[in-house]
Amino acid sequence: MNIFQELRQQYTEIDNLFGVKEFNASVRGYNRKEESWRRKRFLNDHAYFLFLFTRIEDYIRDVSSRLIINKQRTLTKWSVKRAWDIFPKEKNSQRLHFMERVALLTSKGGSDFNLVKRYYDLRNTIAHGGSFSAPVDIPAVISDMERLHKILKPK
Amino acid sequence: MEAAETITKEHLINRIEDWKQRIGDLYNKVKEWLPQNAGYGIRFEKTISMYEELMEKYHIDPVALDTADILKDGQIVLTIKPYGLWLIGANGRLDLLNKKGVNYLVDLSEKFQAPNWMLVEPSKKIEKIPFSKSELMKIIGNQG
Repeated sequence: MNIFQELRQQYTEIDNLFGVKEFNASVRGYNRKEESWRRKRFLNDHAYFLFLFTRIEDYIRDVSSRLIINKQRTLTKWSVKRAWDIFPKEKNSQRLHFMERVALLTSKGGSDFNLVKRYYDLRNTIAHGGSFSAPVDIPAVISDMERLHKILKPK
Repeated sequence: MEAAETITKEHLINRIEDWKQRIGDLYNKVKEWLPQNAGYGIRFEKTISMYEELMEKYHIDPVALDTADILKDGQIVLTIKPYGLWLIGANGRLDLLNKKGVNYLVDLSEKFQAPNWMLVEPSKKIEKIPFSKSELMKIIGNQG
């Protein structure tokens, strides 16, 4: 079971658990409790999103770094190699912007690039203490992250 | 989500109105699907507040959205609640809650198009199934 499948299973368990509590509070007419469980589900979505994003971010950093190292080692023609030599080898280097790393793995401006960009922007909105009012559809996020993990390769 | 160039306050207000309309139409459809003379009913007694990030950013006041309770012999067996409109990859989502857990109903239509409601079964491998009378009755019937 990969990390995304594991997270999907765990998220489903938690969201169902909170959802049942929200439903039961609603049936009993406990409006404040119902709202409180709804809020917990919402914040749990944000927490899961941030965690999921760290997984795909780490993967993209790792794969892009391996691609750079491979190009720097294997290319011999200087006119081609010189561009690659500028890039940092280290996966955690901040000299290469995260979205530039994505552009090394998929066509810049293409649908997958734009999808990562939307998730990256959402991650920044949530992680930098901005709005907590952005809804996040975690089942869809998990599906997208799992697919991106499969297709973003150092070709 | 919205492309930056299309965002104006008026556009966002139109999106919210469209969302309210789609939710209302869905509730009407659910009401039609409930078997007649079998003890089922639907009621709209509660609302939830919609106040998403773009509304905050463009100074749009929170909006009250209806939730729907499906009843069987006077007992709530399913609650339908709007979850959010501006989602990545969907044109809104509602949550279906019962005593077994949550199902997600996402609209995969494009902006201002006829809705394409798909049910997501969270326990399986995130499969999407067209939302229909039979799927609704499966969820209502799944009360353990």
